[in-house]
Amino acid sequence: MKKIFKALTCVVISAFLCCASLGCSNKGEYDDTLRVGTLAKFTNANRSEYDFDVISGTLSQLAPVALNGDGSFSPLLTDWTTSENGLVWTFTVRDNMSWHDGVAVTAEDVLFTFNYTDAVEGANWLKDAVGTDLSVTPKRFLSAEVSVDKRSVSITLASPMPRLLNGLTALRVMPKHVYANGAGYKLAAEVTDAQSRIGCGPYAFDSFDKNAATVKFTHYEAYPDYSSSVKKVIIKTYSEDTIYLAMATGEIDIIYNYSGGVPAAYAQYLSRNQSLKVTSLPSTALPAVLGFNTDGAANTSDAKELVKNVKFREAVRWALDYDNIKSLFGTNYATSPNSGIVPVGSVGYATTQALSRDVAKPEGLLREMGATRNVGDEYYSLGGKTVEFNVIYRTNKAVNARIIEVITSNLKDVGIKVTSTPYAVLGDYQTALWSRDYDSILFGATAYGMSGGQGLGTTYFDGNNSTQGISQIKTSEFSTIISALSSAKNSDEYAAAASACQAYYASYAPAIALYYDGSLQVYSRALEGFHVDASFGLLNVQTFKTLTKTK
Amino acid sequence: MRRAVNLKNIIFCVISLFAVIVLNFFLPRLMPGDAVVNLVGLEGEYVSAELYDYYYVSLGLDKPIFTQFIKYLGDVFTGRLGYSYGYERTVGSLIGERISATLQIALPAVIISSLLALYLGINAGYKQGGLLDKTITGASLFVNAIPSFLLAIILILVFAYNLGWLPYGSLNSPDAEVGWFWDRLWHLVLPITTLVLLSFPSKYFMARNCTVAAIDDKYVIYAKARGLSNAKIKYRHVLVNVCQPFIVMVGTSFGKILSGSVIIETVFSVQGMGTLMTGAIYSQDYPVLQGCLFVTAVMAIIANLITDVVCVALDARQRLGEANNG
Repeated sequence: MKKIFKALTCVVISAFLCCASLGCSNKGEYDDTLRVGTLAKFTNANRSEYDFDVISGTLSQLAPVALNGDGSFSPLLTDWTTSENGLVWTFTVRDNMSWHDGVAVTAEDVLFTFNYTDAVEGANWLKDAVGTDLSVTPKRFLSAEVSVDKRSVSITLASPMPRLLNGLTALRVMPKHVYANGAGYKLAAEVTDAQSRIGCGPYAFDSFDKNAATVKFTHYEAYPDYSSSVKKVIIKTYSEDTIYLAMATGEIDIIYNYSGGVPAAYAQYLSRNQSLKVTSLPSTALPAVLGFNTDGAANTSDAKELVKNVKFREAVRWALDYDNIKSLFGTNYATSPNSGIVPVGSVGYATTQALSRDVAKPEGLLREMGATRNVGDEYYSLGGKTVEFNVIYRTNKAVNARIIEVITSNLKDVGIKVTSTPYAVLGDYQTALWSRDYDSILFGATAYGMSGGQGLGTTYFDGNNSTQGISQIKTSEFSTIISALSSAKNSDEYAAAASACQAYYASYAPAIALYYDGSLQVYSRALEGFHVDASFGLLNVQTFKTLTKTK
Repeated sequence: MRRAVNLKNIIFCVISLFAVIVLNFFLPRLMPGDAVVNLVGLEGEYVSAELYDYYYVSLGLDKPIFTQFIKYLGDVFTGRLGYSYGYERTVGSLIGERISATLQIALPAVIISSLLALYLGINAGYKQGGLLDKTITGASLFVNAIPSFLLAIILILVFAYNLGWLPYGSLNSPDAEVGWFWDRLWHLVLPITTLVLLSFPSKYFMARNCTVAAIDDKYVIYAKARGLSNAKIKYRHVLVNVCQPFIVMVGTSFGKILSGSVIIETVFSVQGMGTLMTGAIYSQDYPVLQGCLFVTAVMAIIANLITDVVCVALDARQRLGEANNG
C-alpha cells in the first residue's frame, strides 16, 4: 500500500509538473489572433444554434444594414436608396461581396431571404403572416423585384416605413444556392453543418472544438475593404466565475456579452489593471422600469382604480429618489431618467423633464384625489382603504428585490404602501403578465425591445401588444400617436410623432424609468479601431474590418 | 452461502433499476401541470392547440398507459432514452456525447481520493492523536465545510489566476494536437483536484475511524506481540478489515461524485453530463433530466455491484465460507 501510494504520488507530481510546464509554454503571443471570452455556451456550431447564430452575426453572417451607436445606419451587405414618397426602397449589394464558398452574393440572395423567412419562420415581408390563433399580420412589402444585373432588389411598400432599416439589422442574409430546394426551401435540418456556416462577412468559420469550448473563425481573404491586423478570432466559453479572471490575466482580449456588458463590480475591479480599458457604451435599454397597469380591465385587486389614476402615478413618480437609485444600482455612468422614459440615443429621442424627488408633490396629488392622512397615520387612506398597490417582479435578477425595497421605502416616506409579489418561474410570471391581473410590474427593457413595435418602448406600453403591453395603454390619444409613428413617411415625420409619444409618456405616466445606464465594456489596450454597433456593441462586422492588435 | 447473498444483491439491483425506470416514467406524468408540457419541456403558454395535439400524439399520450410504458421500456433498452424537443435529438445520443467528459473527471477523482483517503486514514488512525492525525483530520474537517463551488473558485484563484500554472477551464486548448494527452491532463488537474478534495473527507474519516476501532482488536495486539512491523500490521491486517466498509462507501459515493460534477463542470466550463443537467433544469427539459437521472442511477447501481464483488474478493472469511459451503 505504501509503495502504491508513493508511486501514485510520484506520478501525480511528475504529471503536474509536465502539464504546468506545457501550460506555461503554451502561453505564446498571437498578435494576429483576437481571443474573445464569452458566457455563451455553444452546444453546436450551426445556424440553428442560438449562441452560434448571435456570434456569427458579429463577424461572419451579414445583415443588409447595421445600426450605429448614434442611431444612424451604415451599409453592411447592401447600400440603399429611397424614393421621394418613401414607398420604394432599393437595396444594392456592395461590390465584390461573395459567400465563403466563393459564390458571388447577389440581390437574389436578399430577396430569397425575405421569402425564406416568410415561408419558414412566419415573417411577414412579402406574405401575410397567420398566427397559430389564426390572427393575420399583413405583409410589409407589396412587391420586390431583382434588377437585370442581379445587383439590386427594389421593394415597394404599401405604406411608408421609416423604420424599415431598423427591422433589417437583425436579418442575416442567406445564401440562396444553399437553402433553395428547387422552387421550395431547405429547412435548417436539411442542410449540413458546413453549409449552414457559410456567410459573407470578413471572417469564415474555421472550427468548433467542444472540449476546448471554442469556436474559431479565420479571415476571409476575398472580403473587400478589410484593413484589420486580426487574422483569426477565437471565441472561448468561460463560466461567470472565471471569465473576469481570464480577462485580468490577459488570457482573453475582450469580453463579449450580447446585449449586455460587464457588471459594474467586475468592471471596477478590471479598470485597475493597466493593460485593460473600460468604456461605457450608450445604451438604449432600460435597466429598471416600474410599469403600471393603466387599463385595469382585468385587474381584480383593490388598487385597480388607484393605479388607473394619472395623479396617483404622478405621485409615485415624484416620490422616488432617482439619485439614490442610480447610485445604488447603476454604474458610475448611470444618469437620472426623464419623464418621457425613452433614453438618450434612441431613434426619435426627444427631451422631456428630468425626474427628481419632491416629497411635497405626492402629498398634494394624493389630497387632490381625496386621500386623507391623520396625524400619526403611516399611510394615506382613500375611501376607507389604505393607499397601497402591489408590484410583481421576477427573481432571476437578485437586484430586483433590492430595487423593490428602495421603492417601498421611498413611497412609505410619502404615505403610500407597497407590497410585492416575486416570481421565480418564468412561466408563472408570464401567466400573471398575460392575465393582466396586476397593479404594476418591475421589469427591465432591452434595447431590442425598446426598438420593437413602433419604437420608443411602445412594445412595452401599448395595450394592443399581446406579448408585452405591460402598461396597457388603450387611450385614443395613444392610438393616434401609434398611427402617426407607423405611417410616418420620413424621419422628420417620425421624429415629430416620437416627440408627441414621449410627451404623452411624460403626461400620462404609464411607467417610470428608474435610471438610465450605459453598457460597460472591457478590452485589452492592445486593441484599437472599434466601431460601436447599437445591436452588437463593440464586436461587430464594422469593427472587424478595422480592428488592429498591437504588441 | 455467499453466492446466495450476491444473488440477493443482484436481484436487489435489478429491482432498484426497475424502480428507477418506473419512477422516471411516472414522474412527469404525475407532476403538477400538463404531461405534454412537462415532457416537451416548453412553457405551456407557448404551445398552440395545434402543436399541443402534435406533441400529444408524438409522445404517445393518446395510447393506454401500459402501451406508453412498454414504449418507454423499449426506449430505455435501446439506449434512446426519450427525445429532447429542446435539442431536437434523442437523449441517449446527447448523454453518450457528454458522458466521456464527466467520466474523465469523475473516475480519476474516485480512484485518487479513495487511495489517498485509505492510506492517510489508516496511518492517521493507527497513530491516533499524532501529528498526521491532527493535521489531516483538522484539514479534512475544514475542507468538508467548504461548498464545492467555493472550493473550485479558491483553487482557480490560486493555481490559474495567481500562479498561472493551470487553465481556467474546458478540457483542452484550442489547436491542441501536439501533446494532446498532456494538454488534456493539464486541463483536468483542477476539476479532478476539486472533486478529490470534496470526496476525500468522508472516505478519510471512514478509514481513520475503522482503523482506530481495529487497533484495539485482538488480532492487532497479537500481531504486535509477534513483533510484526507496523507497516505489516497496517497493510496486511488492518487494511483487510478496513477495506470492506471502505469499499462499500466508495461504491455508494460514486453517485455523489457524479452529482457533484454538476457544479464542477459549470465552474470549469466542461461540456459533460453535469452541464447537460444544469441546462435541462433551466430550460425545463424533462426528458434530458430523466435520461441523466436514469444513467446516474444505473452507474450507481453498477458501482454497488462492483463493490460487492470486490468485497467478496478481498474478504477471506467470505471466500472460505463460500468454499466450505460449496
